[in-house]
Amino acid sequence: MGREWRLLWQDPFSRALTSWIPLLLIGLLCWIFSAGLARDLKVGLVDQDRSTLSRQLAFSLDASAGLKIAQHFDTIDEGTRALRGGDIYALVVIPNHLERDAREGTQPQVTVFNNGQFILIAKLVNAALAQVVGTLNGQVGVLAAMADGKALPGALGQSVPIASQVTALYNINSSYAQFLLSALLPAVWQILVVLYGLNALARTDRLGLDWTTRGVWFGLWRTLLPHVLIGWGWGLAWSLLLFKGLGYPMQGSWLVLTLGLGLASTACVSMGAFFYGVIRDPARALSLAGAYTAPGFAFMGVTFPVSAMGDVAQFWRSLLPISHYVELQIGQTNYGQPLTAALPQFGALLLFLLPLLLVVRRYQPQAHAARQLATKEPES
Amino acid sequence: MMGFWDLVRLELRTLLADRAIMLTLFGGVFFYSFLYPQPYLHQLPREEAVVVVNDDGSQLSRQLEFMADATPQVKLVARVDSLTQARQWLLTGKASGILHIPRHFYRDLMLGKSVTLSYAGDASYFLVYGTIAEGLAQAGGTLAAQVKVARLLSQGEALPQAAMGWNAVGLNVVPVFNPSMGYVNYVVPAVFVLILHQVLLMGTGILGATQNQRSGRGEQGYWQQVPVLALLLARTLVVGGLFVLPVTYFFGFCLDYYGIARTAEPAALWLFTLPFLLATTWLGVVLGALFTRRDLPTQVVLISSLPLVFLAGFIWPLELIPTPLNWLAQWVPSTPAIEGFLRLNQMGAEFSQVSRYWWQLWGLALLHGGLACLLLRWRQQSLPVAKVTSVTAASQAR
Repeated sequence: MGREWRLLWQDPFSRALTSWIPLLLIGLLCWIFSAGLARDLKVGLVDQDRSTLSRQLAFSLDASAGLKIAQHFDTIDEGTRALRGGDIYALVVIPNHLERDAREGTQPQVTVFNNGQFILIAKLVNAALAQVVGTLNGQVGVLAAMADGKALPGALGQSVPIASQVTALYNINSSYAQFLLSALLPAVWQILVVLYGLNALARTDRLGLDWTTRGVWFGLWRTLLPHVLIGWGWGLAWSLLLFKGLGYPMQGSWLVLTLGLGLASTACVSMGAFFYGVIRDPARALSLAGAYTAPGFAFMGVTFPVSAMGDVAQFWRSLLPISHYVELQIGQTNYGQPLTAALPQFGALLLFLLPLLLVVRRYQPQAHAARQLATKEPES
Repeated sequence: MMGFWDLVRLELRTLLADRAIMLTLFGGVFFYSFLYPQPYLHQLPREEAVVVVNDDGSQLSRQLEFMADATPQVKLVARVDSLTQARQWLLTGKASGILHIPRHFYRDLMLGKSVTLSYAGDASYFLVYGTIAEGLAQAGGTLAAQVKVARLLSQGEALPQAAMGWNAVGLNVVPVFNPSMGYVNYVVPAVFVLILHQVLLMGTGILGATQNQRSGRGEQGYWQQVPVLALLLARTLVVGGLFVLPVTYFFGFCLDYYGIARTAEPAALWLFTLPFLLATTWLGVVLGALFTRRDLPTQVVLISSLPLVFLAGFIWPLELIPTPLNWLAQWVPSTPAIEGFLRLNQMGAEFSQVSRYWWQLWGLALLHGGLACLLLRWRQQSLPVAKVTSVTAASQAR
């Protein structure tokens, strides 16, 4: 094992990959989402009414935290063009006679063309818009009811008979940073740790070292263990950052989470070793490992739920260690599940050790030859 | 003296003979075109499981349950007695949301009070949470409208007015460019551009790094003697030229197959593709020149993928990305390319509207091209040293 640490230290790229590159990636991703809540998303406005009410609406749009009126347009065509060019995320069209129709109670419609190509942004814009218009309706309705001579509580009931209180469970602030980071960091981590395993075996071949003289299993253990430990360490590092440093909810047991990280790290190293072991050509093995790990984030089932995935997608997902780990992580951090609930994921992660059998098979002839050589030498 | 076309032929032969490059450039593109859209093929989650806690039990509350169940977003899977039980359903994964109808829901509504309906969704999965919230808000809104209409009617308002008048101003949100808000349409066109970018970087990178690796071992190769500009042009012609195939396959066949909007004129699309291919190929040459081991460029490109996706501005709004990071991302061709292709091909912008991305790509092409020349020259000049050491090593061995 000491030899593997030394080799790792002497390989500048692998040294970077296990030291400052993870740090850089974690820092970079956390920084991208550091704004946390959406504000000042650009929308365009076509005000065909130019009344007090339409100006009030425009003002509340601009004043809301989530939105900013970037441009006023005279015609819908001009606004649409800006929407197509991506200068604005949505175009708000206030129709002619908005105020008159609102007063007469014929419910004029404010039409919003929202850019569905950027779904997440569109949802942020939608939520902000609904809030602004809802508040405006409340104000107008309450004022109308009070003009009819009703007292306030009744008037409020008159304008909003059913109010709703929506709770985003396990993520009270609906923070995208919390949601995305707790899935992105595992995904990046999976890529790194698979690379650790792959590079470890590739390095011994490149340097022409033979690690199989004392048995393939023993050699594999000695070569890969340091990488499992480094992967585990980084796993703990970003977990501590998310659930302690950034204060994201952690309802479960750190023991279970730590154990899960260890197993996930082992599974990833094992998969990396597998890709190299069966091909024995680093460039091609990397090509496959890249194809395997790069879409990990999409298949994890966090941004797009597993229940809505097709069979092929669910199958591919089950082949990725990180999707099992993320299930375990959500079970612990969000649901606070007991140890028993994590057992299926532990089991699944252990299954990723099976590919090592193929690696061992692949190295067996070499080990055999080495052993024969070793036994012959004293005779000669 | 080697002619330019000989050089092209040599580069082509190197490329075709390298199975790792071929696997990456063509196998990778084909594999991803099948694999990547898989999770999203159903476009949107539907019929998410919700448990209801009905503390009222009135006819009206039952009607609300029915309306919630009737929305495409929500499916009521059980009626439980308490929130504790509902929580248990959530923890065991049998449900993702809770609808709570409070006590005296019916009575309070009839008394003209405002009642509060509470519902919750599992925000471990935002899309699930959003779907549930949307469905339940819709059901609640419809019922609220009915109640309000009934009240207005009881106050003697005429029916058409009462039917309309439950809100002073209506909000009609029309999603454009992706009317169904489907995920295939959202993720695939942008990520495919990134896949093309990354795969091209990897392929060109491996090619360059392999030559450095061979020079380092003391091998003699055509790449050591020819003028760098000719070498760069030959490589661009070979790699970029062959890469037109995957590009056509993605922008033509794949987008069509997955039913994604393709609004751009082919001529405009090719016009935009040209600087994208040049800038990316030349960045790949830079990457290749930087490394002396052929397994390294792939790893660098691989770990850069996720940050590049989230810096491209189609998921997380550019306004929210810290300015220094946004500035850094502009030096990578994928960022302006994704912005430009989405606007041009999916959102139907005119070419003049994406011209700033087009010029940016040309700028990057110039920059990375120049850098590539310098680095190739540097590798050629640092070669004699390697040659000398290898010669001395060989003589010592003798």
